[in-house]
Amino acid sequence: MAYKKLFPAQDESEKVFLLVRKHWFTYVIFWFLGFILALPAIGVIAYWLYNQNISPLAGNIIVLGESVYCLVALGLFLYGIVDYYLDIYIVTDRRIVDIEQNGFFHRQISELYLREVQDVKAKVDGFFPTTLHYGQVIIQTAGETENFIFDSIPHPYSVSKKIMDLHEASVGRNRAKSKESTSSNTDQLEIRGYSVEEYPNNEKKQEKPEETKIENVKKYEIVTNEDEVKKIMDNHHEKNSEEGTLEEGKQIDI
Amino acid sequence: MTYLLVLYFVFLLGFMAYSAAGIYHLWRFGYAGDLTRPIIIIYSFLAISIIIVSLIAILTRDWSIVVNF
Repeated sequence: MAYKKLFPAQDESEKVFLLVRKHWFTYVIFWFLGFILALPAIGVIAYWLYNQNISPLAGNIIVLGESVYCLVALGLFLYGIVDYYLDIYIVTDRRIVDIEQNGFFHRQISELYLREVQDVKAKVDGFFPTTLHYGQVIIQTAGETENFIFDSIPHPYSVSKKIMDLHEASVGRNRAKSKESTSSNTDQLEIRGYSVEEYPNNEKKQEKPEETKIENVKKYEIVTNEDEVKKIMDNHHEKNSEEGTLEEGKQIDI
Repeated sequence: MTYLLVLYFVFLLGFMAYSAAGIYHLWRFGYAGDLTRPIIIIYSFLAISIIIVSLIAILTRDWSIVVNF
């Protein structure tokens, strides 16, 4: 089968995990409008069929009017289907894509890399969304990028969970990649005949007292227990109050 | 009454252009396996049917009536 992209920037190796459209209920409005529009047309046809003694002029106008009416209703149906069916949210293993189709002549594609996702919220608000299980998924992004909003999508909770899972997988993959690239750099250095500790050049190494630095680093301990931190801070304050006031910007050694 | 017929055919031309734009979008941006292809077929079938029925109705009627306003 021929490979067809769902959006322009899609890579061949990119896996699509979610392809979501708006809930069918949001499209019902077009069917409802079509039904309302069809009622008078049906009435006119019925009247015409049961009253054959209508004037030829009125008959001609009814023929043309009915034809125009039916074609306009059909055109509305086409507009609705294009607007509904081509509005798609895609989640791949790398990014989130929002394809927005407004009518025939306005199409917008926005993309967001999964690693830029900061938070995902699912929101179901209202009577119909609650009963028919559809709602919003709001994807908060890092930086100045606009938030992504998946509007009126079915099962928003499971979609948000899936996005978070994919985000975590993407972040994990990036970390593994960066580790891999670091280790490959190290390998390259070893291939060139340097050990990692010897490189960069010896002159710089002599300028910087690396060993002293390491000793300083060793002094610091990561303390996660809250009580322990409080205890240490109390001791520190006591020590400082004995020695005098703490200088602004001075690093505190714990 | 012929001016009504002319107006109708102008409308038909506009409708065809509109339909072509809609069908192009469904054809171009739909993807294999989805519902866009059946929708194109159903839409084309319905539109052509309405136009044919209307043309038959138009041809069977007398359009030489003169309207005095």
